[in-house]
Amino acid sequence: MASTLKKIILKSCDGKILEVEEAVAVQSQMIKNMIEDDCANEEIPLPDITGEILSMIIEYCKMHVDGENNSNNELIARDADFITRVDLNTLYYLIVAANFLNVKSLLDLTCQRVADIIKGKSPEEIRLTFNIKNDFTPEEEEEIRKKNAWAFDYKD
Amino acid sequence: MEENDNKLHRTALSNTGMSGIVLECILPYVHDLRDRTAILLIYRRWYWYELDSSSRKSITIVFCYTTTTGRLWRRFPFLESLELKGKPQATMFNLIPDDWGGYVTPWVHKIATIFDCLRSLHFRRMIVRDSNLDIFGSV
Repeated sequence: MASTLKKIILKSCDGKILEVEEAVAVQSQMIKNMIEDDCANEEIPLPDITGEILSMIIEYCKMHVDGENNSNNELIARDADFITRVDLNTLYYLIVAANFLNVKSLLDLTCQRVADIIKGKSPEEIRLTFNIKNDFTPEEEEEIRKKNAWAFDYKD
Repeated sequence: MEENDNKLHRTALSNTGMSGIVLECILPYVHDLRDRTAILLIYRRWYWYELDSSSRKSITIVFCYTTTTGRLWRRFPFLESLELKGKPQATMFNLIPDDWGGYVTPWVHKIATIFDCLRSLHFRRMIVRDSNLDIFGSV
C-alpha cells in the first residue's frame, strides 16, 4: 500500500516541477522502466515537454487510473471528451510527448484523432489543414502520382 | 551542439506543427490506401518512402506484368495481403484468347518463400495450375 503513495517528481523543459503519484506516473512505460531500475528517486527531467503539455498528460493518466473500475464505455466517453478539447497544435505536442513517455493509450488516442482528420482528404487539403508547406515541384508531384497509380494502386 | 539541435528541433515543430516525429507516429494508424497515398504526397522527405515501405500491409497490383516479385519485395517486405490481377477485363466477355498470358507461375515460388508476413493472396483473371498450388502446400 505504501508504494502506491510514493511520489515521482517530474520536471518540464520550462522548469515546472510536478509531483505525481507513482500509480499515475507508471502509466508511462518509460517512467515505469525507470522506477524498476531504481533511477526515479531524484526529479526526472523531461527536455522536450512543456509544463502545460505535461499537466495535460498527467490529467489524462490520472483519469485512467481513477477510472480503472469504470466500464469500458465510460472510459471511451471520457477519452473522447478529453481529445475534443485539444486543438491541433496541442495535439502535435501531445503526440511527441506521449511517444517519448510511451503512454500507449494516449498515443493511440491522439494518433487516431489525426488519422481521423486526414481520412478522405486530398494531399492539398491535408497540407491546408495542418499548415504544411508543399516542397514538391508540380513536375515531381505528378511523377510520383503516376508511379503510384501504375503498379501499386488502391483497389478499383 | 546538442543544445543547438534541440533548438532547431523545437523551431521546426512550432513552425510547421506537423513534424517528422508526429508523422512517424500517426502513419501506423492510417489504414486506408487512398489516405496513405495522399500522405505520401505531402512531403518530399526521403523517409516517407522508407516509412511507407516498411509499414504498408496491403497492396493491389492492377496488372501483373508491371512489376516483379523482387521489386515488390524490395519495396514492401512486410506485406500481409496481396491482390494480383492478370488479363484485361475484356476476358470476362470471352474477348481474350486463353493462352494470352497472366500465369501465376513466375509469382508463386517467390511469394511462397520470401514474403514471411503474407496471410492473404488473391489472384484475379490469372491462370493458376495445380502445380502452383502444390508449392503453397509444401511451404
